[in-house]
Amino acid sequence: MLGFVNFYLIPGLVLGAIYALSATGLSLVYGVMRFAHFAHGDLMALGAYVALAASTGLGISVWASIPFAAAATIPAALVADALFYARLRRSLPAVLLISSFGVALMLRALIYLFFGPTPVTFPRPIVPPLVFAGIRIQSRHVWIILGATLCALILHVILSRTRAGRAMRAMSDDPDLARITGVATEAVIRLTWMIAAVLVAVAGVFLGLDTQLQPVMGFNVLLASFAAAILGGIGRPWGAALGGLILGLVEECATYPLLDGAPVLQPTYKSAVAFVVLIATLLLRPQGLFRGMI
Amino acid sequence: MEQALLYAATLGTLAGIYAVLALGLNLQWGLTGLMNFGGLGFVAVGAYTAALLTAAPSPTHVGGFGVPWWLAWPAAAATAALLALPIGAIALRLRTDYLAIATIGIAEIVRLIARNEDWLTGGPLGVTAIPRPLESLGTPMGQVAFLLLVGGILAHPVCGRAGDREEPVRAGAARGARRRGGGQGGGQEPRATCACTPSCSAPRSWVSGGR
Repeated sequence: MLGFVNFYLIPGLVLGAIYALSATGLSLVYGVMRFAHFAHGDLMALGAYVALAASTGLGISVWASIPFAAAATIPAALVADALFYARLRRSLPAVLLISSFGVALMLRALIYLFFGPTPVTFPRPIVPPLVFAGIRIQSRHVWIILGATLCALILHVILSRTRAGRAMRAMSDDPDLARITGVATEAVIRLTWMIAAVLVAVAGVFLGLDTQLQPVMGFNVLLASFAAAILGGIGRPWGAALGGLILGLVEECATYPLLDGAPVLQPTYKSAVAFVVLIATLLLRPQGLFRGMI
Repeated sequence: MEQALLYAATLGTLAGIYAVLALGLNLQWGLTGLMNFGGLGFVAVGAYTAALLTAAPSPTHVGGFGVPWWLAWPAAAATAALLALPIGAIALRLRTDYLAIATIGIAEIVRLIARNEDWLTGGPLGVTAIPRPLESLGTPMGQVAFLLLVGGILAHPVCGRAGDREEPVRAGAARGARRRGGGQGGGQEPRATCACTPSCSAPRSWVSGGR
């Protein structure tokens, strides 16, 4: 039982927290601008690499380098919006989707250019895990889970208590109605990009801390993030966060040796879990758990 | 001169393969409006089918069937079309961008299977020693003959129709066929045809689990 908690539940929660951060941003972008943002994963990788450069270049801790990561992903998202998405605002979702795919390739090429293709890790000291009554947890995993919770709370306050947050929700409910009632749609779009970019930068740093950094790291979790966002009901940030947690837990627990020592699912097929969940959600309940837009 | 010819033929073959691929996509996006991002999953299935049927026996994967290419290619097309059946069932219900995401997911599952089922596909090592059709003609001419073969597939009426956007009657027919019968019949064929070609011409990396 302890083994299950240590090796499946806790890694599942950590992975789920990372998915939740990334999926929440995707869901916000989808809600306000109504397209599947495929550059999200590569934005995440960009954040992680900039944090790496900041923490090694300035000699600061990885946690302190998160603002640098956000300082890179926010302009990247805003520039991509101004140069590409803004011109396509009234196009079909498919056109925006493909253009965001192009942006993803550009970002990835930049990462390859400046940081090279070799996987690297954040400089991190080897620390013994914390032990509570037999439950062992790495301190960085504690911080990841706490950090993701903090992000979720801040986002909740922004969305529910501030004028700008309410404007975002209004646009996601009905963009035309929001516009004629005087919501400054372009400003709301910029704010959405900023929030999504911060969330994805945090997710990138956390993912790099949990595993390692490589240029395709973000793209590898992008589809799982989409799966989480759709599972939670796309356009519903809390749904996306819950979907991310569920997906992370399911993905890790699917390899639990339940059947006489043989894992339920071979670990090499772990990433297929997200796609199965995705396709099952789309078929059985396309509006997701929280009745998102379909 | 011989070198230049070989170079041009190799490049032309690759261009031809991409063209068949693009025609398959055009048929699907352009005429039926179904946005399939998982095309390479079909390519992989077709490529592995053709490769495993024709390749020399090897301890790292299933093989040694010794099937001639002109039998292996239709078999590859049929296998890829088989994969299309479940996807067709999804395609008819999903909205555009959801379909794009779902098809990437399916292609990714195909890639995972090719990577992990070592006994079948050789895993990351892939399938080597795939005989190319008309190889017996020698170095430059064999490649030229292969180019002609790819060109022939490209010019085949099925592919030709796929590229013909201006003809409303046929386009309508294609759309009708798609809507009527669970959708995958005629529409699938060009894509499946193209799926079998890369396996026979391109370097090994194409027919391995790697992207």
